[in-house]
Amino acid sequence: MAISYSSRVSVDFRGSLLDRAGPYYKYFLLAPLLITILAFFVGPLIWLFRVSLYVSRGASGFGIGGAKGEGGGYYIEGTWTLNNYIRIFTDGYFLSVLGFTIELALIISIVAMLIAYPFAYYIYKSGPRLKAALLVLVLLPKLSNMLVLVYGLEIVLSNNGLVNNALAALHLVSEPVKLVYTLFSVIVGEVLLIVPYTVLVITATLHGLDPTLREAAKGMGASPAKAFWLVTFPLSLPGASMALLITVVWGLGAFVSPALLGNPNTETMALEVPKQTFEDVNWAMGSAIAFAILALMTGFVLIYNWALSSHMAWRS
Amino acid sequence: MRWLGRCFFHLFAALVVAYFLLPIVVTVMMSFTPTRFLQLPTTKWSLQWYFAFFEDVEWTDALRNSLIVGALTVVLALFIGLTAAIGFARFQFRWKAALYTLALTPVFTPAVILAMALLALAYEWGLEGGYLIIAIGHSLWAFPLVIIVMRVSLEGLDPSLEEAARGMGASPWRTFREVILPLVAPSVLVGALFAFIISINEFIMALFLGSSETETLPRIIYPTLRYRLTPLVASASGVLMLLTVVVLLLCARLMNFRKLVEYNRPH
Repeated sequence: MAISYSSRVSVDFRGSLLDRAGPYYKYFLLAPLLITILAFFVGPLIWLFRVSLYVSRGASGFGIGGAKGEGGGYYIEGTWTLNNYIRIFTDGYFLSVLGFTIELALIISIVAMLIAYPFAYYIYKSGPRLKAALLVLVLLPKLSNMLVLVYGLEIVLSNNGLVNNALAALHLVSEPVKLVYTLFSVIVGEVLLIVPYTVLVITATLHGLDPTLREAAKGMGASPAKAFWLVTFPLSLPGASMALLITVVWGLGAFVSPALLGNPNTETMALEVPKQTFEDVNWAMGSAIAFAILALMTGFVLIYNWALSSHMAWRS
Repeated sequence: MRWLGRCFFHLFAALVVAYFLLPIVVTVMMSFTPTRFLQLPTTKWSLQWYFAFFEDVEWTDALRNSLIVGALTVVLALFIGLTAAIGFARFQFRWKAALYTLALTPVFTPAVILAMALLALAYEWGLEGGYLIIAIGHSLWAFPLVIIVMRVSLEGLDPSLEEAARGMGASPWRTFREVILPLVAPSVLVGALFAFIISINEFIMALFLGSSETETLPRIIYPTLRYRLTPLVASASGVLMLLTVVVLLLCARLMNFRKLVEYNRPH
């Protein structure tokens, strides 16, 4: 790497160790980051891929405690197989889980966008005090434990919870509707966990727009609604599409909400990972599923990039 | 017509606010229930579930483990984040943008994938079930935040301060310790507190990487929530939230730290 000082300083070398390292100390500064990224992020991901290609020891707990060098009994060392991946894409059960995971991610991102965009616009239009309060509110779910949120939702959505009581009070329903442990509650829960990011990204985008453009449109006789649809909305699309991408990617990793607010029909790939790894002691399969999620996410990012670049090509 | 539209817009915003707030409010209320069932308190409030929490060794041990992992995460995230942020703020080098993106990628990687990847590694290196591997996992989410916060505040510094110190013969280390660090101290603390909040609230990595000896609070809440419904979960959540709020208030106070530093700056 070619490194140079951003600001030139006359360096007075004194005897300290750091000084004797001289111009190389910038390498030392970046070393902890590089080591961490390589040893605990990139390395383990490569290792995860390797484990996903092992033959598993079978679906029983008897393998635990195997000798070192035999994969600790969790998989058979020295084997190579694509069977785990083939199973994901041929086995009816895994296929349905895969299909549901993608479906859920898409539903979540649509719902999240429908909530996030208008709400971000509301924040953008509010006065400074309300704006600050709303931004803190958006951050609040992110700063509290996701289990707390899910627990709260479980209570709110239960048969004698707030929502059902409100519906009964409005005479919309005669008896409680089953809301919790359904696809509905899974969506409500996961959207709550993801939507703060979506709101923040869109709010940031809206604030980054040049406000004079909208005023110019209004000055030339456009109604506020028209100014929004012709100026603000199209200009905010790049940021909004980025928010959509983040939502889809996180939706694909949905774990907490399907686990606690779902039912056996709302099993996602992410939930399948600990199930295979710990309940079936099939680490190779667990790794393969984790890697499949990662591949799915990368796939969506690539589709996004491709759509963006072809859109740019079309525009110019 | 426009008036009606505006009304709907306010109503919509109010509903979203309720959506964000209700789960938290309800959990806090539930932790004060006097009954043994999941019944929101209306007239009578009680602290019995908090007493139950602090009397149960299983839960207090988990609280202690959470604090240990949190402290380790803070140390790791600060060390990695601070050194890297200085590197990014001070030097130009090839691949800088790429390395910066790579440094932020762990934040966008779902916990399940990080946890699974680190699990295999932990067994390979004999770190399984220890505090350290959980803290390493948590710091993968925390150090990028430290880098972001620190880089902004380091790049906002007047470079002439550093040049002056170096010109008067201070070593790089001394310049850092006596000039730069006091100036960026508030953001260092904010980064540390965010790392702590991330750590005490994270549970998927704790679930995969911990053992029965290193169970953190969320790791106990999760199965309890899944298999038995008791208000004890609410009080445990209350304790977690209280910790988070205290840390956040500390954070807010330390933002005013800048003033303190300005008073103490040598003239």
